[in-house]
Amino acid sequence: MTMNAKWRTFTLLALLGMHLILFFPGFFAPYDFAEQHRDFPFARPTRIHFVDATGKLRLRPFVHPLVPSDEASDSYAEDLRQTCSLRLFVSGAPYQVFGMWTMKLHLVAVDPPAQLFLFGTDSFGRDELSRMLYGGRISLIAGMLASVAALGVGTLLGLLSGFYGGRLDAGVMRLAELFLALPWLYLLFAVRAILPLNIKTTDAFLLLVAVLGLVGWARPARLVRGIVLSAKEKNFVLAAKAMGASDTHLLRRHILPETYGVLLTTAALLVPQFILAEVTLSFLGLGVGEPIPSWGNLLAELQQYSVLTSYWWMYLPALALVLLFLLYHSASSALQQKATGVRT
Amino acid sequence: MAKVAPRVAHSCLLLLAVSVLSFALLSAAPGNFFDELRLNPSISPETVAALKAQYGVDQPWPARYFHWLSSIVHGEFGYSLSYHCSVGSLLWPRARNTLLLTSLAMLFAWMLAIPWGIVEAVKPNSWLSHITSWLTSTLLGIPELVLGLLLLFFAARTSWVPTGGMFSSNPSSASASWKLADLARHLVLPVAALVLGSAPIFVRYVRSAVAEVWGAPFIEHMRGLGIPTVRLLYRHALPVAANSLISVFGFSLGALLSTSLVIEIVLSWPGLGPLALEALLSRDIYVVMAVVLLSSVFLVFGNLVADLLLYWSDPRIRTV
Amino acid sequence: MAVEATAASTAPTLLRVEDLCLAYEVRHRVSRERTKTIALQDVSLELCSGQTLALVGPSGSGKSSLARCLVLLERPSSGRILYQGQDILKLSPDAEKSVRQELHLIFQDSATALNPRFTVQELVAEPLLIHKSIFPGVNFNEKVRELLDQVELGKTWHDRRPLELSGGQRQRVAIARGFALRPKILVLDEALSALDLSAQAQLANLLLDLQECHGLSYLYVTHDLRMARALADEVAVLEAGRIVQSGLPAEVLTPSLQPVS
Repeated sequence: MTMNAKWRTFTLLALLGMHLILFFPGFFAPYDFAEQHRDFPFARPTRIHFVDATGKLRLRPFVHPLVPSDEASDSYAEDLRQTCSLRLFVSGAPYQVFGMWTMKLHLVAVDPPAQLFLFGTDSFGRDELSRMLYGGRISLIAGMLASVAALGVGTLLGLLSGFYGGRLDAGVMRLAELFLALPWLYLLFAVRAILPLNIKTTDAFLLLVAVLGLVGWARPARLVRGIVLSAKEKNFVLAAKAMGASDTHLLRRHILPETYGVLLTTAALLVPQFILAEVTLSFLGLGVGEPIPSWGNLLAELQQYSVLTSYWWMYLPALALVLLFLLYHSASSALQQKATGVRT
Repeated sequence: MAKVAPRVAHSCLLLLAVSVLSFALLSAAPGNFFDELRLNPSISPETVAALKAQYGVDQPWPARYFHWLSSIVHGEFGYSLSYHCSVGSLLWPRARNTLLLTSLAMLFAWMLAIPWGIVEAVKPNSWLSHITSWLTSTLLGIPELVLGLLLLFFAARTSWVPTGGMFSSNPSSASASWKLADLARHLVLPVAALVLGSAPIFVRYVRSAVAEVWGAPFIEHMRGLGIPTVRLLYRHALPVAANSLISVFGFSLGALLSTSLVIEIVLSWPGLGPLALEALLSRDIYVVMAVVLLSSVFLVFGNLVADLLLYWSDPRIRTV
Repeated sequence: MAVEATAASTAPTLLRVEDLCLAYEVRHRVSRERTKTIALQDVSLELCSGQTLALVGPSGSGKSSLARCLVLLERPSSGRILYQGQDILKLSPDAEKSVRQELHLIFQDSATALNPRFTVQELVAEPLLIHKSIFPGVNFNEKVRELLDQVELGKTWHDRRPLELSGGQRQRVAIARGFALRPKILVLDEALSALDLSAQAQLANLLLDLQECHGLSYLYVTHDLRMARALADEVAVLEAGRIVQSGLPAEVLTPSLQPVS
């Protein structure tokens, strides 16, 4: 779709904003991702009120605490006798930022004994919004790291293959063809099968990223190789060669910069694909596991029939995923438009 | 004909390389399930020993690879340790189901994409084109996993279509036509998921291929001559556009196979997907190997067909 | 036919090309047939110190191929290129690198010969960077400024990129770059052909000044007979890969010689 400059800026800012929120889940999330509220599994999203039971309008929005129910009922009743205010910028449970600093500031919280389940809760009574924010960070970082890995390996091989040609080129391209001859998800399965099933979650995460990167290098390599093939015949490269430039100098100063455009547009396409790959693997139980959330394992609960049909808020991670995807696609169209001046 | 043989040979070599790659990958799997088998009290040690000998587990890897290859040639594809039968017997019904699903999905997706893409290319400012482009952009943003879940929700709530599986349990006296209708009803959901996921991408390809030809001077010239648009389209523009589309066809098959893996699992379609997942979770390595190899066969075969089609349809390649 | 040192020049021979042959093999993409094209056949010539040799001929005669061979961008199939008595085709990598300082090629199209992402400053500094081991402790910015002064390109242009400059200015940058390592021979491959007449005249004068100042030798490849007559001390005519005529400009470039494309 054609986009004018305003829309383009808006989508890029929205994408940036979403990344910012997902990189600081501690601040934006009301609760920790593992905090359980055993009395309230599958609670609906909390209703925020402005008018209390007596009909008075309050300045601060407020919330009624939930009443635990002993029979298996669909929803929980609100205790109308108590009103607990909603507050912004509250000091609460400490969390780590980038594993280095400890902070206590939360964006939003509610006075005790009420609960703030803006997106409802899951089967263990864990706040879905908090889990989505922490999970989003995992999925996002996995996607980005994997893209960096795939682009890194692909660029290196594409550069060497295109520049030196001959047997190296033939070898690398045959290898790429081999990797591309397998549907990527099946290849992912095959590689995942090598790894032990039950590994520590941090190891699992890193291995996941490595696996994704390993699977995805072939297409970037081909693209980069194409660029290198045409770049190395350019006159300014020949001029440098005639001056006695070493191969490293030629590659680093002249040929590599020619690839930046392609790398950027490829990155914009790869990141959502890898995020999806991580989400899919985690959904199937092959990626990030409990208790670490990921949009994949959050959505996995939907495989139970009761959850699928009755608890609509469990679909929200899917909405977040779609939103992220749409923003990335717009960003990549915007990039392509900028590069070629053509409507995609 | 001379051109065809090297291309076919290339595909065969590629598949051989894929088989080596699969074997290499899975040989790297830690933990020997023959050891796990031994822990299973219901299997006698003699059986385990016989299996080990048959698969040459204690021999160096080239021997093991050849054992495996010969078992493929016999249609066995190795031995499934969870199901206690040859992998081949598990594979064929599942492969057939996946093939059924994927071919139907390809058919419908392209059948939808071609007219929409042509309209978007030929009449870029009509309301139809605007709707199409908005629709495709939105659908492209929805990953197949989510599509599958949404369709499942829709099916569960409305009960118009069954929520999964391939057949309903039916009395053995059910007629063939009833069974066919039942199958069709079960196909609706997975096919819809795959088509909704792939058609937008195809529409984009069709649009750019047709738009490229449509803007060419020879088309303008003929339009100036007064040749009606429809005839122009079918006789002159599309054959040229078909060239780039045929290459896309091969590539799209690979993407569709990966997508079908997820959809099959989510919608409980008994194809290669659920089999691969189960095998992975139970460390049934020969099954995983076989599924990976088979999916690659489909893909390479699809590309080969696409290349051959291209060769047959494009006179420039033939007459050199 | 070889170009021989005429009686007029008493300068020592700097560069001698002997029986150079260059053939290309092109393999058809689909049919895999190989076709052999002969670019140069038994080309021999001599360039004396401080002199300008013009190499003229129609397009496709192999002039550019010869120019590229001289700066080792192409490897001939047979023959020798002797620079100061040494065959530059048979040198060790280190010796080759130092010989490359002495011979420099200036391309016809400056827009493609200069990396559009670099600034003028970076472009002229590049040869110094490549050979920086021979300039320990030298301030490159100083040298670049000196070089750009010599080609009369003012300070305001030093931070611009090539596409912001005119054709004539770009060739000045190319010349400054070419001159950075104080080469003895500049090979000018149609270096003035892409410019308008006034720029051509200015740059031709600049080149002549530089030659006088620093004793440079030029091998000027061109199809422009006027320029050849104006700049050259000797002329060689190349046709279909062979030298068909050579001598003084007055003898060779007579009015009866048809203008070539």
